[in-house]
Amino acid sequence: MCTSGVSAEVTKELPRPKIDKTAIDALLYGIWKSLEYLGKQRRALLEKIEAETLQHLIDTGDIPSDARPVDRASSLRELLLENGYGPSLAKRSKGNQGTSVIPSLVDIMKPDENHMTVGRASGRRPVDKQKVSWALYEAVLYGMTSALDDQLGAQAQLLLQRIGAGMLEYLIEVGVIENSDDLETLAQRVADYYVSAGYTRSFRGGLEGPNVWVSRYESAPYFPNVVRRLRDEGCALFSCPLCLTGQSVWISQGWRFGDVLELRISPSGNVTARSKVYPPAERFTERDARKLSQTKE
Amino acid sequence: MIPDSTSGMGGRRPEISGNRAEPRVLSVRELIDKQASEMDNPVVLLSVNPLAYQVGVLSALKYFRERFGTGLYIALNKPYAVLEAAFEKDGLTRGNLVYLDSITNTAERRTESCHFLGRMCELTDLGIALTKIIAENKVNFVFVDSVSTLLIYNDPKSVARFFHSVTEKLRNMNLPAALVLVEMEEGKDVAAQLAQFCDVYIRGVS
Repeated sequence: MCTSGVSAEVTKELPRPKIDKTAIDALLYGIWKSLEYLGKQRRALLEKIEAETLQHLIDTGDIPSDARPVDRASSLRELLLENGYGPSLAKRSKGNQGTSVIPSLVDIMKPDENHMTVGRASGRRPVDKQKVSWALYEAVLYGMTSALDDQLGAQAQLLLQRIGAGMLEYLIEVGVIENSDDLETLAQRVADYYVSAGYTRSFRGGLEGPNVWVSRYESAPYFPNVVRRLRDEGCALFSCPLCLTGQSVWISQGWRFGDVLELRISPSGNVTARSKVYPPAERFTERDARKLSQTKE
Repeated sequence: MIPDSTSGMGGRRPEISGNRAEPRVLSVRELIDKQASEMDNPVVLLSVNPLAYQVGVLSALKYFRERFGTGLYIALNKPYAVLEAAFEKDGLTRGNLVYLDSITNTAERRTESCHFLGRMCELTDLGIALTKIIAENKVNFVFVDSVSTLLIYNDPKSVARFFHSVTEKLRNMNLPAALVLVEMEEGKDVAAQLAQFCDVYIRGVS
């Protein structure tokens, strides 16, 4: 969740691969689900996420920055059409074609109604095998993190953790991750899914020392493309979807994840991240309370 | 009673004003004032909707500043530099707050107005530093922003126990305090526990 020890030797962004649509669907589901408790106010937060997402698409050149609003809207529509969001686009932006009205990204990209009712119906939902542009995935990751940081600061990491739990729920429900009562097995399946989905070429993670978790990625564009920008902007939140989904397995059992102590990004896009991790235990005991009460005022 | 000059900040509680039955939404300052004005050194728990977080914090801080003067701001959620710039922009003059910052990524060090503890320090270290700063500075209130941040890397029971110890200490020193937390599922249990040893619990600020 942090800026500590970020080392980015990469001067250029990594090429952006395609990614399984289920990954972006899971992310959108996680966002919707985690903000559900806000009721009608959820829309206001979603709009902030949407605005930051759009800004990222403009800043990365995926939507032309100097275009007139009408061209921007049309460019965004094109991007969505190219990635298979045509039917949803047509349904949700009726009458806006050819105008400067920017289609509502979050509405258009969220999984269809059947998928949004995960856990409420019996039987598995069909898996969408389609691949979508990394540009869209990256933009939503950036938009979500930046908007939550701007609104809430560091405590937004709690919401990101909740989004991680939502992503896991979704991925299990649609059948791309098989559930397991064994935490290590489930966490491994999460990692395997993100590798096969195209998020990173390979991933290895594990405890190295009592409170240090080390993650190693081979070619993971999230880090040079998104993390570096967020850190440059002073945002300390950590929203790697593989981490959030994997951590949710452990958090549900009382584990806590703290700072990323060190983050190294090599020129070839390989990443090593060391994070603090705490097993389920009281971290401020009765003894600590006595010690504090005896501190002289 | 402190008059409210902050617009657009509200709680859910409606109030009838004047002769016409127009419901008026009370601001955070008004809500605190209504419940805490008769108390000498109130310990206030403020649970804020995520969308109202920034205005809620500012409104509560203004109340404490105007009523009690110089305070200690425990910055757990946004760095001191960001906060000071934001507060100045919103009309809070520099010099009336001392900061204890455990969010900025830096080694432990002190400046004239801020004690940097290093990012996400242990609760015991935070408690000891808080006690020392109060002893060394003329501080009339303590403002914690926010309880929720501590829940990222601490279990709820520890966070509740920590604030129980802290508030006991503050009461011994006759210091009022505000504990801010953001409404989320993760903080519900902690809020219920903190409410038991706070004098005022204001929730649903939106």
